[in-house]
Amino acid sequence: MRISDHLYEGDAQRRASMQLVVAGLDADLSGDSHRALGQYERAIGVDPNNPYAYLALTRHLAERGDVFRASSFLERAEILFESEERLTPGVRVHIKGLKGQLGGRMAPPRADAAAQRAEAARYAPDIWSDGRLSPDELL
Amino acid sequence: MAPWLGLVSLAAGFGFALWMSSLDRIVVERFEGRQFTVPSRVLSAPTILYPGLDWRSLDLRDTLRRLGYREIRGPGGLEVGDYRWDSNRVEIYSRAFEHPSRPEPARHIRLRLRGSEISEIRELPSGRELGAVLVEPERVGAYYGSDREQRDLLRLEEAPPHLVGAILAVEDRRFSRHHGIDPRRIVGAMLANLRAGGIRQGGSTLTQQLVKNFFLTPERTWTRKLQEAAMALLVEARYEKSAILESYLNEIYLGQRGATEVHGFGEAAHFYFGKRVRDLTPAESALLAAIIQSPNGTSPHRHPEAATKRRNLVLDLMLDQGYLDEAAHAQARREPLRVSEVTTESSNARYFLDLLRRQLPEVYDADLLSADGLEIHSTLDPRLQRAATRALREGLEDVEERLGLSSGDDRGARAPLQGCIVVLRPQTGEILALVGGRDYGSSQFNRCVDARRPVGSVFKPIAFAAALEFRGGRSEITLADFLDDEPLEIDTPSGTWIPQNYDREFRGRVPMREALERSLNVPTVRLGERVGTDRIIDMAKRLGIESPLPRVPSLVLGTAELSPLEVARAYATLANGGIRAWPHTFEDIVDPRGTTLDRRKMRFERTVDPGTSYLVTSLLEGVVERGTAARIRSMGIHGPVAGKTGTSDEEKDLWFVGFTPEMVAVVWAGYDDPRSVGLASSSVALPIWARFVRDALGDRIRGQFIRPPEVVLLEIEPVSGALALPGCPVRRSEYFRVGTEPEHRCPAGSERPADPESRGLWRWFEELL
Repeated sequence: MRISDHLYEGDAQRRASMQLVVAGLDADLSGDSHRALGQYERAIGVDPNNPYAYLALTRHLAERGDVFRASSFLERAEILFESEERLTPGVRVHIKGLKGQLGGRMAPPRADAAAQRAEAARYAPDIWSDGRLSPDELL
Repeated sequence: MAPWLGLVSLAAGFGFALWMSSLDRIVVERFEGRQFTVPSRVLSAPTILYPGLDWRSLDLRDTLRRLGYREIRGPGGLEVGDYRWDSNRVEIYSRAFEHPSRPEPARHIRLRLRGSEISEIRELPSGRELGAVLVEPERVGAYYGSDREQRDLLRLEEAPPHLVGAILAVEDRRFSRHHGIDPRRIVGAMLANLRAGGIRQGGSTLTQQLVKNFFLTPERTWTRKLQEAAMALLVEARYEKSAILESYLNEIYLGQRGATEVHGFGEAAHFYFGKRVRDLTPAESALLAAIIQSPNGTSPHRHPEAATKRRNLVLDLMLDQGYLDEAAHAQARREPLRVSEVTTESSNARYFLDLLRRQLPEVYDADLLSADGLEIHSTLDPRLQRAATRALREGLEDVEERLGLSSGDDRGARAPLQGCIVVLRPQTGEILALVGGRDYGSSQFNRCVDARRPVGSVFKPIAFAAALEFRGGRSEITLADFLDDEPLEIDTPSGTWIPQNYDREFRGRVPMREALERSLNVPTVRLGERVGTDRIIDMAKRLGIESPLPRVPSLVLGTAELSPLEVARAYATLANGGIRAWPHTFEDIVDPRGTTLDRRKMRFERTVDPGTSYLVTSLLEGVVERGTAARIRSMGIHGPVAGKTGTSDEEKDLWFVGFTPEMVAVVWAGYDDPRSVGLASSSVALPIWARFVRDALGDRIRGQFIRPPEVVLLEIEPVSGALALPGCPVRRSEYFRVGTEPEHRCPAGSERPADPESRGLWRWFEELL
């Protein structure tokens, strides 16, 4: 699943929110973490139920080791994707991979973390074989 | 020489030295200590424009005016800070702004309007389509010191050369050559004034003006003049010309904005032209220099002709003294006077600012707020704040009129009806609007935060949440269950308590939903007895209630005294699927050098499972659809809304809590000295809420409440609560947490087929395994 494939879906608020998500991923790509975080939060402000915004924010926080907050946002993302019937295989792979990534960083690590990462890598080896999701892989 | 003469001379010399030494101490202290108190400014959340946005509900035109944008009519190019408004097109040259998380460059954009909607945004001149554009935040307020001076500090190198040139040309052409006082200027001024028969010209140098403003009180005596001259000499002896000039640029008084004084050219550029000092044109620089002598007498707002005349004089002086060439001079003289409208800071956010100030010490020393010149990026949505202020004011006025209290005599005898509104975004905890009372000027008591009042039936959903919660593989009740509405007596330490419904009637056996939709007291008390006070209090705490809760059976009817803010937080947890956020008023704090000092992170905690939250939300939707809040629909609001009315004993406290998928708003109304209002909350608090929501969000609410996978929708037989299968004659839909579906069937003895919801249920089990 790539966020750029869904930029023009939904109503005006959703589309505007997606633009901000993309701007956040661009900022992450260029290494401006502070700006990226602001963009994701602004995206949630415009559309508080945008699952892609929560997913992008989860990825951002997971990279920075903020396990607790990332897990909260991931849970939210999953519920929102499910409610919009957008829990496609492409989305599930990212959710699984992020769960594995976060689970591995918990203290103690979750027992199923390695298995989740392995499953994500099996279904999307070009993205998840390194155990992480980079901004351009989500963009 | 007589010895006594020598002694007198010595004494005089010693006295003079002492005097100069004391003046020198003052100079050093001020110059090398904290030179200026710069109030910390609070900015709103920035406005985001995007295609599809309703520009009317956004008050776009008013927003631009408040931000100091100048409307240009007719043809011609726009400059930064200008806009042009046609019937179906708006052209804006937005200003750059230094937001901590996303600095925005200045942008020339065109918005196409289709009715009330922005249909397209394009960047000019490229024509590139834009998906979202940020407009700079509004100034919400500031934390002033006792001097109430407003300034925007600037460094000398930030001032454009033509600004410095304009100031020197008109105020002190020999600044670089004198040592603090300019005898030639003094003599010249005396002669000019003698010729004119009055004071036409001042003889003070910039240094003397600085000394007068910086160090001394504004007296006009010979002693003061002598002191001024002496201190000017001392300043020049100690400090470089550049340092003196920079202090001057930041100190000089340049006008009045309401009750606050505008000091320094940084703030003046913003006040008069809505722009940063570095963006000033030569004509604008000349105007600011022109008004130094008499900012109010030559104010371009009040005396545009005098201001223009004096501006042109300054431009002529700049040409004479080589600060402008002929072409620039001619162009500047042709430039029409264009100043921003005077806008005083909105006073309707004062309650919000007070709460922000209380939250700041978590991250910053609040004592430095009035001096350190911080920029505080708040969570305030100015549009929602205005809508909330209007709704509360108009709503309370309406009530008073209905009660016959609107005449001055009736109201003047006792304190007026009061109220508060607080608005949160559940997903983030941002406080989007807060109005803590009817009029901050009359009463600074923040009723949203500091008033603890009995919440009445607003507490009931918490008891239902505790009962619906899935614990140890079961929940106390389901939404298909029934509660007894029969006379009840409860023994308490203070005697027998006999709860009553509002109409003193009993209905026998009532469905769960009806018990809450109609806010029936007796069934709710029975529910509370079944669940237990401990579990109810535990649920309240997890939702976000922090005030002490009495361990009494009447707790479920809302005898607890809570603040509107904590009620909003509790309901926000439900609206957010059981994830509790921390209500906060600011996001970033930035120091004058642009460094972000603190970034508030969104903080959350899952405290209630999503299934319970959803079931309670569904109940509260029923309150709006069929129950005590049904008036919301008749007031024209459509879409997903959940809410609860609450009226305390004798109608002393009137509450309405309502939420959509994106916002929670709590309204409280009552008297500060608790006494009966004489009306129910559905007649007071609810209409205020509806008025606010219509104004803020329109009449169609966006989104949906998110059903989590562990909640399924099934059909049941309404009378028995049995699962309705094919052949069941009467049925209605109801939500159940997986694992709590009814065990008995309708018709009795039927087997359950694989219906779509059931497939969903089995899919959930598959995923679990």
